[in-house]
Amino acid sequence: MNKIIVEEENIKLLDSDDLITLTLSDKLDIFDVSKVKIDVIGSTSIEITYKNTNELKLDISCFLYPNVEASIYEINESNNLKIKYTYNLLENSKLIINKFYDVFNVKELDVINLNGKNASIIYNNKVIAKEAQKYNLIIYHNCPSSISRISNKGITILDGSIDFNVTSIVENNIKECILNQYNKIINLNNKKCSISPNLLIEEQDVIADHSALITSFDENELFYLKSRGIDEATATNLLIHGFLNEKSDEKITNIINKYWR
Amino acid sequence: MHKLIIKNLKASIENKVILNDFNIEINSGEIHAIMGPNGTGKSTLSKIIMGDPNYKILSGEIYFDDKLINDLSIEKRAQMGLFLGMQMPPEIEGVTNADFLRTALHTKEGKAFKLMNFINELDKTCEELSINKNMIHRSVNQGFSGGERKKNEILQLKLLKPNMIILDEIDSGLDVDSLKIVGENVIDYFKNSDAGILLITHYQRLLDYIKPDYIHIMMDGKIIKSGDATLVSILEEKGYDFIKNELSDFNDMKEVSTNE
Repeated sequence: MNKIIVEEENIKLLDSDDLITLTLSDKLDIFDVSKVKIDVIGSTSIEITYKNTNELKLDISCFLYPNVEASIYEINESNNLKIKYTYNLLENSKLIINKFYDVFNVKELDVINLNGKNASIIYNNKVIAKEAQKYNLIIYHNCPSSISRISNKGITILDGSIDFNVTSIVENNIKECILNQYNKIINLNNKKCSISPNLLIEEQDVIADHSALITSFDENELFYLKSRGIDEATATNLLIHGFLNEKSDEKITNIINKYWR
Repeated sequence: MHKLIIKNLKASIENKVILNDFNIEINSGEIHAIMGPNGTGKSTLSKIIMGDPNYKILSGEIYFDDKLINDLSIEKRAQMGLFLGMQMPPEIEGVTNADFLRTALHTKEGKAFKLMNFINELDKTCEELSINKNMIHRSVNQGFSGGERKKNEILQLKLLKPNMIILDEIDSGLDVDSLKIVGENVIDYFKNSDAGILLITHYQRLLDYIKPDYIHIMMDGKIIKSGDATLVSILEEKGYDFIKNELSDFNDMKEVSTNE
């Protein structure tokens, strides 16, 4: 698996299978932003790990060639993060993104361009928010039969708050697209959170659905777990792991266990 | 020997009284069935016994094994051996049945918990209930059919081995074959344990498999008539109104007699 390590402004590619190329550009002087370009030329997997104590400003663009199927697995344990991702997907390409953020302060913009027929993206973003976090996603269905399945899940703790602003766009004559948005925040500290699920669709021939929910833990779920003898703390732990780590990923388990044991 | 006693229970939700002067005593080896029209407080009763904090006990007592449990937490009641098989068990996103059951059993058994024993018993019980083993690795009740949800409740029952079982409309949503499997598994557990059962149901069909010793008719938050299994036939034939009218006539006669 290709491994990209982002550590204190150093960006390295390890264990490359030569199916991706990584290009680093000089920082833009004014904004102090590091630019990274990832070209994915063949079907492969990429793991991105962030470990930064200083504020990180990044502009990452990821380009998928036609017929390429790729997955990106991302664990981010930085302090403060300002990041822009641009994903460009060409014909018949498929990208699966699984991201997990344990970050204090985040401002993120994700622009997803589905630029080829049958291009599809599955985007799973999970966050633990300890300070203010804002995520803006814009998905452009620029070609017919393109598919986007977007899932954003977050839990607020300490001073954390989350804004998910997700906009899916289909213009007229871009037919047979499938758009799905799922956004949920478990608000454990009663800070103000928001979800804006926007579906801007001009075309009739589209399948679109979305759900948006800001809530604390469901009383019925807690009652059910407790009715089997499970105490409150363990029940909460079970629900958090279920919400953020349904595939029991070991790295994510370790992060969650820092907060809920 | 286990015993659940409810004495003069009055309970409400959002200032609306749901149970009023409710009394019952259930011992190990006994099966009690509560029947009654919709909205009479049957499911409320099951949740109050289990300690649902949404309901408020205004007066009366609930004893389990001689311990007053009015203020006991839900999990402590479960750890004492109370089990509620729910009418509409919730879906829990991302928590697999296996994790849920393992956590529940680990909590119950502590250091005595053995993972291999758990896996073996889980396999065996799935077969007994004709449950597809893939269901174990799916999120709790998520995407389950009505029948799968009810079988999942009985799966938990058989693994957790409670000694006082409340089954709230466990027959709803079950086809004929699933009803038979659920009924036979409940009765099999009952015969091989020291448990008592409180069944809440609308229909006789479940009682063909789980034959009760006592039938109670519940209306307006209390038991208005108790009897043996023959009471079900009367109900099936004449309906709840007949029982209500019969009771009303009896009360009128009692009143006349007292006045005279």
